[in-house]
Amino acid sequence: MDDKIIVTNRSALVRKYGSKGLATIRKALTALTAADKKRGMKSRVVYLDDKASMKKMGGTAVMNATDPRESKAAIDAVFKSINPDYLMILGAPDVVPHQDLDNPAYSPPDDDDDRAWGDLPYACDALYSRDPARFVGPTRVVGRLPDLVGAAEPSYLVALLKTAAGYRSRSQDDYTGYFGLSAAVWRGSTRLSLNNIFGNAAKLLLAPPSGSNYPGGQLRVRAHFINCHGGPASPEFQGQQGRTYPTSLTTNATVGEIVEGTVAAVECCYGAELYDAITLAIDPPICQSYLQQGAYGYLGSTTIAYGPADDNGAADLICQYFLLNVLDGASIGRAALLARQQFVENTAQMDPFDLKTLAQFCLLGDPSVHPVAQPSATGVPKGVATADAERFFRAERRAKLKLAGTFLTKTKPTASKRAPKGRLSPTTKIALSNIAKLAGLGANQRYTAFAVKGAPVVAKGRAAKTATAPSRYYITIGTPAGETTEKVQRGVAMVAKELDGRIVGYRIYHQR
Amino acid sequence: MSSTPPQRVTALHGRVIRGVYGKGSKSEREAVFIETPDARYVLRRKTGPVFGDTELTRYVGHEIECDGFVVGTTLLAERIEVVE
Repeated sequence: MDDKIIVTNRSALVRKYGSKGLATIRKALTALTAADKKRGMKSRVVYLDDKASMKKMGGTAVMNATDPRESKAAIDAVFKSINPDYLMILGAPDVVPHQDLDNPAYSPPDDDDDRAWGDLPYACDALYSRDPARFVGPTRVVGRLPDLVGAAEPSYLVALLKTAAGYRSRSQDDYTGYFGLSAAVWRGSTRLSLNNIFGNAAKLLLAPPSGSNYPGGQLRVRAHFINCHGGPASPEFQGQQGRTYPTSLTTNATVGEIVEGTVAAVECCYGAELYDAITLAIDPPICQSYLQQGAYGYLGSTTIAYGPADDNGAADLICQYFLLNVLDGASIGRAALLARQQFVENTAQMDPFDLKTLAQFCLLGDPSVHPVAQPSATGVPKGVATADAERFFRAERRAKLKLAGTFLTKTKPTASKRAPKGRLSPTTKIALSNIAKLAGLGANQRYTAFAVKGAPVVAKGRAAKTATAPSRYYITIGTPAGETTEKVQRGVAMVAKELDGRIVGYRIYHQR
Repeated sequence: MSSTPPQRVTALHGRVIRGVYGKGSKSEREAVFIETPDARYVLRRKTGPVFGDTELTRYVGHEIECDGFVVGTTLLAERIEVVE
């Protein structure tokens, strides 16, 4: 029985590093599995492109390392056959690809991510699909330990494997002194997030004036929460005050400043994008710098992220849940799975922006690492091996997660598919126009309609109750009029819920 | 894979304009774009800042030729030359 499976693609690794490089990686993997064994956990490496291994598991070997469909099917076969407590994907997306989920909020040029890349489907029992609505019930503990895209020598990956092998849990106190960084314009939202996670926001740093270096050692604490701007293929995050966007953090500024055991939740757009820094000849991503210096886990987004103006929502929430679960003693993999489930559970219906958020946030790090040691309320009697007891408790937790995920899959209404808008009723037209006015948008905004799938059927007649889900969503993205005095125009994304021809609710996501 | 692998481009021609990038997202901002006959890309200097690169403003309204990499919908320019 294997507790943890490490999946990778041998031919992709050989293509990058040669057989000598692969041998070096295998040595590091042997050290990791030996360290896991000492912790009472049985680990095994599975090469997804190995025909014999995959056949034994009732699956098909991956022939094309960059094909998401093949990798998803192979990982599903691993779960069906072994059902591990942890699945660690070893390698960047040029070794094991991210899944290519459609971005339901795709609306070029306003949201030009045609895909919401990520690892969410690997954490779900549903078969390969590009529809994010199929993956609202994750059940599997999954994380990715990435190498560098395009790398030709394996020292980076070997260093990460060494960190995972040598990790140690610490007391919660070691994670309460946090690094909290926010674009100055988002101070309200970030303050709320820090209060929710740490019980205070006293250490909140605003950019500007903070950044891009932290000579006072502020980065040298183990819990990080960052809510700044980010861009594609960029080794920088940015703050914002008015129309200025000063650099708030760079890959370079993190070098020598991230302490071993750090866990980060990062809301920035593209905060966990694993871009090809080698071909581009630029600094590697900030997320990969964190891991190189001994960070245990990093939760971030592969693409453009969303959040509301003065409150918490979307990216804020999934990041908060992750850190809260880590502080509560969960492994980083379970913390990420719980965060995904909690995000879905606490959202009445998954609108296109919620679906993108769920799809785009990825966990980087060995999912079996427990940064925080929390004493258990359940004692283990003498004569019972600690490893066996822990395996039993883990199985209990996994069973609970499986039930929760399955329930979400069966019950959560989603809106990922565009529906023919048809002719808007005069009531709907007026309501949308009024909400657009509230958001600062013009009356002639163009709306995209989304059908709601999975809503419970409401009984008719005397026993009829109020519907619990709308029949359609309308979304629009635009720039408020009247803000043209600022060089930087602030846009909004508006989501309105329609029930039986009437708009019954709405949300407005502001640029933050 | 994840995102589009970088594609090297040489002597790419296009007109530089200003526009809004990422409307409604956490990173909405005014950006500089290059419009080619086939596509519109966010224009960035490879070594320049992601946001508010004032160096790029002098190209706005001009036809340019550049070398660099296309990554998704962004052009990371290594060389920019005004041709008009």
